Amino acid sequence: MKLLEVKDLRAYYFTPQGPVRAVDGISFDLEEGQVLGIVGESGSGKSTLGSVLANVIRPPLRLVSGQVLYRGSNIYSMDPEKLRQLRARGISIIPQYAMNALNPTSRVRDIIRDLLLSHDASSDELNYRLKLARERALQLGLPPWALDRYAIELSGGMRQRVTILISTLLDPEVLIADEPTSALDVVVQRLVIQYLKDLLDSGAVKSMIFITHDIALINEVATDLLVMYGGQAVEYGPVDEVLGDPKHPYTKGLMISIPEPGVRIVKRPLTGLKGEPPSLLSPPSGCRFHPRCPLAMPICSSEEPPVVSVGGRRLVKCWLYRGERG
Amino acid sequence: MSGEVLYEVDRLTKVFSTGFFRTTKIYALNNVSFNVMEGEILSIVGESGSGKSTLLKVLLKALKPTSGRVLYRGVPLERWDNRRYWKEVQAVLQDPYSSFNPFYRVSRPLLMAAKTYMPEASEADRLKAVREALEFVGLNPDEILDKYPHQLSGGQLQRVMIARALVIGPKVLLADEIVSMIDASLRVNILNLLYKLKKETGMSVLFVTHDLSLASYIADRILILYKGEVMEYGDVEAVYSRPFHPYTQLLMKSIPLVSRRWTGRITSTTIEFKTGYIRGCVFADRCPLATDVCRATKPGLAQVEPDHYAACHYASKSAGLWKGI
Amino acid sequence: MSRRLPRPRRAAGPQGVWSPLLGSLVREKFFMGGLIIILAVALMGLLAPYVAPSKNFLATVGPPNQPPSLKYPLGTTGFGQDVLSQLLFGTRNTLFVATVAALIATLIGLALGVIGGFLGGAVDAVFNFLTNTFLVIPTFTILLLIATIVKHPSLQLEAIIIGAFGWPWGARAYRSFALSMRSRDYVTVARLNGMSGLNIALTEVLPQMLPYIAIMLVMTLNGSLMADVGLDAIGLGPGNTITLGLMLNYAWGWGALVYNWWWWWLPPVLVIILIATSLTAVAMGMDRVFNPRLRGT
Repeated sequence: MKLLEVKDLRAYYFTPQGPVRAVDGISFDLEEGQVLGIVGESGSGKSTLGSVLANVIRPPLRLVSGQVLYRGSNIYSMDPEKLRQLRARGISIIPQYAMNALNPTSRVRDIIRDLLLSHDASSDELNYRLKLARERALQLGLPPWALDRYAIELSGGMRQRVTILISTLLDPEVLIADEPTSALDVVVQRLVIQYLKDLLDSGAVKSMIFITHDIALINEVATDLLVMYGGQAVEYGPVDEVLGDPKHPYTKGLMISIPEPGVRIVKRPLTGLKGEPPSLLSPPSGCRFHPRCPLAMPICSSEEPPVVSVGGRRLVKCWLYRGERG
Repeated sequence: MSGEVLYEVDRLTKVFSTGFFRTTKIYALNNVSFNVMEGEILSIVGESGSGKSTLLKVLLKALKPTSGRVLYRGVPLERWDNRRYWKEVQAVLQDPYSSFNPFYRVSRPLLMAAKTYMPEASEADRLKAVREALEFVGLNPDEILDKYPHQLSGGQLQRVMIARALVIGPKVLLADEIVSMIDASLRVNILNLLYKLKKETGMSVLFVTHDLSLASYIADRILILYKGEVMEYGDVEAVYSRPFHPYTQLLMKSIPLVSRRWTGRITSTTIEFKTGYIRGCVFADRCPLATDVCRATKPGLAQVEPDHYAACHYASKSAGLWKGI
Repeated sequence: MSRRLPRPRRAAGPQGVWSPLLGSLVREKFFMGGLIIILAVALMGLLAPYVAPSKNFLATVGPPNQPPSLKYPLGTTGFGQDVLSQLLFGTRNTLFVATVAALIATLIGLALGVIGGFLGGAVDAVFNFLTNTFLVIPTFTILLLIATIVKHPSLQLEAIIIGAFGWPWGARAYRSFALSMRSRDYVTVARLNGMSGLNIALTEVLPQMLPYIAIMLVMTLNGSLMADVGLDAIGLGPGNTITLGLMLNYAWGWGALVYNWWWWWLPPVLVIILIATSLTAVAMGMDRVFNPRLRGT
């Protein structure tokens, strides 16, 4: 069952200086049980993608073309009532900087209650979900009293986890997590990842889109991987295949530039990527990665590469593989 | 690494008093001891609340210790004249965009540094020194000098900050989370640059970070802080391959890796922010090996191997349980 | 929180920070509208000695209480003086007092606020205590007291008195600004570069504060204007010259409201309202440019 179908999505910020092409042609499907990891750095457009997928966009960001279909229905042409019902149960997003999303002058349990009521929870469901919230809070390593405090009394890390709790409480079918752990300590990060995987394993959440810049984290969470660069997808495939045998020069560059504990420069120096992240306002011509690519060919600067299949479900957007089109 | 001991930090303690009547005490640093040799890179690893930023501020002479002492080249910090001290000890901070005043071009802090610390040099010589510093860090002076901060990327700005330190030519560079706001794929370039600084100029670097993966890359030794106290300290190879302290082990287990996946689960009670003096080991409430001894008395930093120290009552037991990442 | 994500690079521009700001200001309707009006009024005052029909505005020039006519465009007062001339010179004098008072207040506020906030410690404790004490004093009441004791101060003295009590609000604002500046990273870097505290305050901190100071100055002007008009209208201002407030004092005291000699009191009221409104508009305009969040995008 395809929960999400994304077809040639384009969304730009319309600024006084011109359009910033943050999402410029993204397509993928999401099935039950899949966790799609979207990895990208600054200038990749990945966070914009998250907002677009959840339809929480506001001017100057606008959908330019393409579709986002949830169970076959386009979420951009739904009537507002259906869209409202969609949130929290259908598609839910854990926003970036989630720790700032809570009303500081409300108690957490009241925030939860308001959320449940606004999503038409019956009184039975209300009680069930509140109880569930307390159980899940412990799973996230929160102290039992956290839900009874005012949001402002909790530390940043705690607020982040509370937001994650709230965003997942109604067991959404599609969970979009946009850098949910970036501001958390590493131990808490592992707790959160365990929590999200538990939700997936138990079926409470049917599928997830996990957006991050941390490629190692993707490895722990995702089943499939989409690598974003300059607003476009440059590589896609099952996570073990992509990480084990990266095809796109950017993916390869990423893989060899991340130190791991115990890796020392005296034994194994790493080279990072050269150059700077691309401007989405005026991206490089042709392949957007070409200014930084060690394998760039003349055609790379003049023509945008096609997306080619390189075996199985793997796709790469690169001129190096044009001949391997399946 | 040559022989001179640059820093001797001896039982450094910093207590902040806050609250309505200034009765609430926060022990940002408690009994921290370590030293730094000339030409070595020491990674100071800690999460939020570990005290690493406070430690850096003390070493920068921006904060005064509550007790304990810090000797730089044998002389207590408070006896060092600021101008002389900052000729030998400089810093690069975390947020490249905050480090620059947006009203001025990026050349300003560079030229200011040259003016202060090369007072007898001519203007031409100072400009030459600035240009050479920019080239050393991999930037083209003609493309950088007359730009405003918002026109450059975070990575470029951090390099300019490193160049600024280079112009002054200190013996020690304090680097406070200098790559956490830079793209992951570009971080290693900055780290390589720091290593180049050490190799070619003999500069020592104190590399403060929360990221254990980055900490081991260029460091010779590592200091691990938790709630203001030293948990483990020593040679980087030793600490990474044989972590003795349960906290170090917990950190190592929690790092996501590309090469392997996590096995098993961790459970951890939440890190509550406690004020006031903590009796006993600061890690006791989260430690799987904790006993009443741990809750009652603080373990001191004890040697477990050559150039390897851990603060744990059950250090050997803990080491025995370690099966690798 | 010690960790944040890489910040996206903003769209580049080769100029510094000032020109875009000034450009936006010129395009801001409230700012330009208010600025034009206040400049026009100021011009009126400046040119008073040259264009006023009756240079000696206190002299009787004709029959009293005449409504506006060709000879006396704004009529005459109860004492037969030319209202138009009084309006022009009154504007001049009132603006003078308000401006000087605002400048004095701003300078004191800046000095105490920035130095205290920046240096901290004992200096800040003393300055802050001083500021809070002055804040608590009911300003207008004290002004009344002083004005009663001094008995018809000169314009300059009135300006000093008003300025001497108008600084605490500014000082508070500047202090909190300076406090936040102190912990800015580029201030730390400036220290590491060996810059002296004064140098840092003047070249690193003050430029950041200029937009804020500009707004505060305009608002202080408004406040001083009101205090000045208030004092003069009660008759506690200078007695030997003319100000807008004094015109009101005379007009109302000598029956203008009862006998409906509107040309005597309405013009000064309108000018006062005009000045206050245009100043508010200028401040609003600057606020909208300097704080883009308020623009609602």
